[in-house]
Amino acid sequence: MNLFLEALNHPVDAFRSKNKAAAWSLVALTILINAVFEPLLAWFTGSWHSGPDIFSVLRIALWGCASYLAICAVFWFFCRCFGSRTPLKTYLQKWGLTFFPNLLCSIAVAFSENFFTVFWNNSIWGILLSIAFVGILIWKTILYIVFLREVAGLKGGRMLGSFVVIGIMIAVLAALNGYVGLKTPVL
Amino acid sequence: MKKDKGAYTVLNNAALPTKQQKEKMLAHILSECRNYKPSPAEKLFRLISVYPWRFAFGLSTVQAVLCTMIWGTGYTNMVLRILGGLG
Repeated sequence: MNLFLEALNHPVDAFRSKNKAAAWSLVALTILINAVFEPLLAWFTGSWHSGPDIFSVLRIALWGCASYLAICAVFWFFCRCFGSRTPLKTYLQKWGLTFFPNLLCSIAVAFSENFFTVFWNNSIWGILLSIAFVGILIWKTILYIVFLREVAGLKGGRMLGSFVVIGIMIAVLAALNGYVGLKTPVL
Repeated sequence: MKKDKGAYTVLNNAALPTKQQKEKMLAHILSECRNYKPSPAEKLFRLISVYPWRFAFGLSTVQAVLCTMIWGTGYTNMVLRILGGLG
């Protein structure tokens, strides 16, 4: 539990210590919510969706894993171009520590998609959800910057350069995630 | 053999700093610490990187309240459409 609290409240310390168990369980939970919880919720709300079948669950889970591997490879490649010496293994073990916002986002997206009639044109729910979504986006950006500084070890202009280039790659990968059916990007 | 060991201890002890020297070293380190002032950017980074969700949701609350006051539900619907996967 302490490992999770550290990743939640003190990301700098979490990046410095070894806790790949926490990192990978956060990624796995995000993928599970995308692949299992969201289709189940859609099914229970009684919309036109049929129940989740095992093939779509497996397909989405595999795409989630592939997306995580892809973003780590992107980090490794571009940070290397900008002068970082961190090996690929470290990115694989530590990027998962930034997945708290993704986890929250996947839950929020599941509810906002399936109960959109409640939230649409409603100012109170609208404010609450926009606080949640924009907050999650800012939180992930902060973790992204801390990650580049602490794990990739980049500073100043090099960090700014890698921030922009990897940011573009993240946008591209997020679009691909949406295309293959991952409603919350596993990035 | 025992004598040899004793001789080494003497040598070792002679190489260690005396009490006065230790005090001097401590005073030096402390004065260096006092001189170190983190830059404003570093202070800001430290403030934000501890409990990052606090800063994120604080800023987000400000923007949500302000923008909803200005544009009403048009704004919240737009956020839902872009970030919430609707539309």
